[in-house]
Amino acid sequence: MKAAKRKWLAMGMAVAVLIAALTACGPSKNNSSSSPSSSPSTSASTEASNSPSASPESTESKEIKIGLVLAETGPASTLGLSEVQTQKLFQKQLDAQGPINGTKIKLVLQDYETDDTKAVIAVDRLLSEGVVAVVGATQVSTTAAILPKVVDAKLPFLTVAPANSKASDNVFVMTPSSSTVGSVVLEWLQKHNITKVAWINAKDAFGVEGKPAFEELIKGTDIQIVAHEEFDATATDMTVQLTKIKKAKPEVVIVWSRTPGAGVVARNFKTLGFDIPMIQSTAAANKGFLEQVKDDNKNIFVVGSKLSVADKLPDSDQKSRLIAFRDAFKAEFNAEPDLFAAHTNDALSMIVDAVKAGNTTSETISNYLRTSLGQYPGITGTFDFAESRGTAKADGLVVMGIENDAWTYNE
Amino acid sequence: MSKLEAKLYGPRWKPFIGFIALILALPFFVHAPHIFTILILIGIYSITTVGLNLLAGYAGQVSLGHAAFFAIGAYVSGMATTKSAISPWAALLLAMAITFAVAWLIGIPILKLKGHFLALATLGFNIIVYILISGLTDYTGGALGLNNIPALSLFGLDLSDPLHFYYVIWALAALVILFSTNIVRSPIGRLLRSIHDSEIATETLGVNAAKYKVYIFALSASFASLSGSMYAHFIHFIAPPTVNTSFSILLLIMVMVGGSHSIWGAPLGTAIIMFLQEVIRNVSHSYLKISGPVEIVVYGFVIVLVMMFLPQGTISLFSRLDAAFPRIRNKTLKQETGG
Amino acid sequence: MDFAQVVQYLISGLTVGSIYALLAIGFVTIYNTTGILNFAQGEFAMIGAMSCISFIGWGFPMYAAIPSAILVTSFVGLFLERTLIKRARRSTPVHMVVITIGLSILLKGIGMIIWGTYPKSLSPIIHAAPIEIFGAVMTSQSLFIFIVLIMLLILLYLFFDKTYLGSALRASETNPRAANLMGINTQSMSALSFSLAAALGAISGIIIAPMTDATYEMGLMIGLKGFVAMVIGGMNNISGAVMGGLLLGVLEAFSNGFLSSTYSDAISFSVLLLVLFLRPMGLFGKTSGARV
Repeated sequence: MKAAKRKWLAMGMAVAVLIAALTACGPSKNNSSSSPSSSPSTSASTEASNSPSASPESTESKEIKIGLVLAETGPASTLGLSEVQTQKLFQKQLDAQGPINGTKIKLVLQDYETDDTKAVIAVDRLLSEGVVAVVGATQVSTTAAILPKVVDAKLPFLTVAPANSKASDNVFVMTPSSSTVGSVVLEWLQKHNITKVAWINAKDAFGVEGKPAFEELIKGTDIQIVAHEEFDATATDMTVQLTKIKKAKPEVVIVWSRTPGAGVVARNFKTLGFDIPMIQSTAAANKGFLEQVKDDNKNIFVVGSKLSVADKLPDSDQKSRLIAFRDAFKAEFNAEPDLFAAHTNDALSMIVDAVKAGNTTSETISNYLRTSLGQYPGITGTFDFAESRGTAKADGLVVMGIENDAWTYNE
Repeated sequence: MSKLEAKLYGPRWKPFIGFIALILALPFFVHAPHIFTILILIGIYSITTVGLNLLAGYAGQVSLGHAAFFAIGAYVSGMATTKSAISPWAALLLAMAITFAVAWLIGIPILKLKGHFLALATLGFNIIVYILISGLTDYTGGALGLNNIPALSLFGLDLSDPLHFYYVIWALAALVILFSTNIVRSPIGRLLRSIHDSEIATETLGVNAAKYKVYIFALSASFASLSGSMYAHFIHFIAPPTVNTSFSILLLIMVMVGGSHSIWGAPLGTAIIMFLQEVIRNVSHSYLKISGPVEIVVYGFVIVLVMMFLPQGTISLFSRLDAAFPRIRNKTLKQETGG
Repeated sequence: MDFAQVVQYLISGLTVGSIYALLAIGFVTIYNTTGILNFAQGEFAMIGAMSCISFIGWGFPMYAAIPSAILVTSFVGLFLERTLIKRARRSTPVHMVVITIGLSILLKGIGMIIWGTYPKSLSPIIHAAPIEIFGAVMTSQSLFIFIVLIMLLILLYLFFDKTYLGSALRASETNPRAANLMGINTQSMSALSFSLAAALGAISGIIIAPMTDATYEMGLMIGLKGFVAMVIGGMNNISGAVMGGLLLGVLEAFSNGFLSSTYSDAISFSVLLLVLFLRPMGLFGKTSGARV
């Protein structure tokens, strides 16, 4: 029977190794808001609990953690990169400032690799690290995927992508909603006396939200959508769709898609010889887009953050804040910050504001944001959570043109 | 007969008991919630990979489209529970039935193809389903996905609690494994093996090979549907990116890395791949200070290496332990056959 | 439905179709000489495009960057064949599928590490104004793509039919044992075909990049479509694959244009399924049963 015994011994060892690995993997600290509620943990965990994070209820907190779920890698990283950079810059600034009322703030980043399921696991990791708030995610669908979990854990959830703020009192949206962006576009259209628009969008979570919001806004105006086309977000040629649009003779083409699709549409647009303007959504307000259209970018407009054209704005409090952020970002990364950086920065600075007012637990931070923040001047725009937790206001947005491969302010 | 069976198929109950013991014991050792989530996901995915194992390993038919069946399960469950008052469990069974029927219908023409052509056809099917899901926005939520899928409850036990869900999903997985081992040891299983070895020879014996292939295809599809439904009720959200072709490919990789010749290869391979991702991330973040991209490279590398040097999959390592002690094994054989 | 629209769709379709055709040729080459379906073919296109962009970034002029990029990619193909594929030759089809999939994941990861995630652009090779035909517009890049495709077809025909090496490659496909007996080293043939396919992939990548920008994940979808093109056209010969590619491109353009842009891909893949069910050797393939 020796063979059987040895085999069992080997298997037993393998299992033991597995269990040891599982226990060692990841912090062993239990956070009361996240552990499986009837976990039969009889003995203390095998790893010494030496992580410095305090549980949210402890009054002697020396460090609190803020969790971020962002796409540092994978296809959405073109958007996520500036978010990640902002987080790094912010941590640096926090470290330079030192503890606030004795409390140190640590930012914990989880890269979810553009995979919704991995994002859910990432939230688990953050919860087990005892974060008091969550900032995320780079994409619309991912934000929706992790929302239930964060809400269940009763943490304040500051989203850097559009999300449903009605899901819970703890959800705060940092982005201008499709409606808000749409209103900026509408204003521009009315200023230029345009009534016939063609709409083309990518078939992803971001792209499909634009038109319904816009259609709501134009009710009662004389603006009508004369053509609507869609394309797969990863498609490489949209000439066919644009040809169909050309037939409908619109006065402007509105594009709702992230890059690189947005850039391809713009290029096809120029090739086909359209002589009408094109307006792109905020998802095209990045350097990648500028690169893509550099051969011919006349008459192409993009709704973006005032950050990108801060120098050309009239002097104001907002202008100085924008310039301060932009210069700090540029100094650190030698790159221009974009709207996504602004969202991330706003989320983090709001939480810090709450901490400065003496709030260090999830519940108190959430309460503060809801009731005491008032009219908050963010980089994305002004926030007023008493009025709506679902969008930033439009005052941080502007329709930009392109000149000499850089953004310009359209008057 | 059972001794013969044991010789042919390997021990039957010992791995099963070990498996149950492991599942029961793990919650006592695992505290980190994200590891727990991973264990639950392994359970969910294993249900699909066991089915795929039956199809690819025993019957020898490659499918690169099982994410489509997973999607049908998830979406039918999701749509039924968010838009109507059907009980989630009824919706789940309905989804399995629908998936079985769809797979049967599509299987009849598809399984006439072999090898690479079959793989390509299943891939094509996956893409078509993906596009339909993304396009039929009114029903499926389109690119934005379905939100607020409710949690399950079993006899009053609330399954939104991870621990409860863990036990239920692994109980389901155990049932599926049991069912599959039964099939493997039954005449149908032998038939499938013989089809794998030589379809022509099997047909000359008067067997309608096509019928059995389609049956196994549809069965594995309904397993995938079960998986999908459970996923939807666990994450409470489903969107198209989760069920595109990369997921199908991942499932096949899990089966092959684990070992396609034994049912146990499926959960093993699933666990390996899921933990591999976690381990690589930990190592690269904590020790090497590199982020994300490394993982993909190591991942691809591991897959290639395993396929080249361990073509029978990781499960074969366990049977090799047996082979390491041949002399004693022969003695046991003689004893048992009454020699 | 006016004529200009139809012509525009045709031009788009043929342009995109030529890209698929170029990739399909690479697939066919490897498949016919080694029996392997190389899922990593799309990644060769990515490597070709990205290397070319890097070379240009380092100051190489266009006429030097392109051949260098093609050369680099061929070496990658050769290297992969010698180290990994050779050892895995005896595996079952399922294993080969998973291995080449693993390879494509590996290459994609390496691509991401080397070149990052931002899309990179390549300026068009010919800088000329778009041409107007019957009311529709054709860019100079489109024209260039057609020209390259035709030139390649001629070159490949000459190579396979008129040169010793080409005939040796074809012989290894048809009957490896006999080829061996005739003194042809089938091992080297396999290596050669991989390098050739990699080079072809690189050319496709370099040609596409000015139109669509290069990213590390560009390989997946175009690889898949190239695959589909090969199956639709016929896996046995290059001309079949090319016809398949062009057909697929035109089909896509027309269903995008006249039916719906949402479902056009579904239509393409449904056609794939139909072809597989009704005529698996492809529309233009010869009915030599062996490979199916």
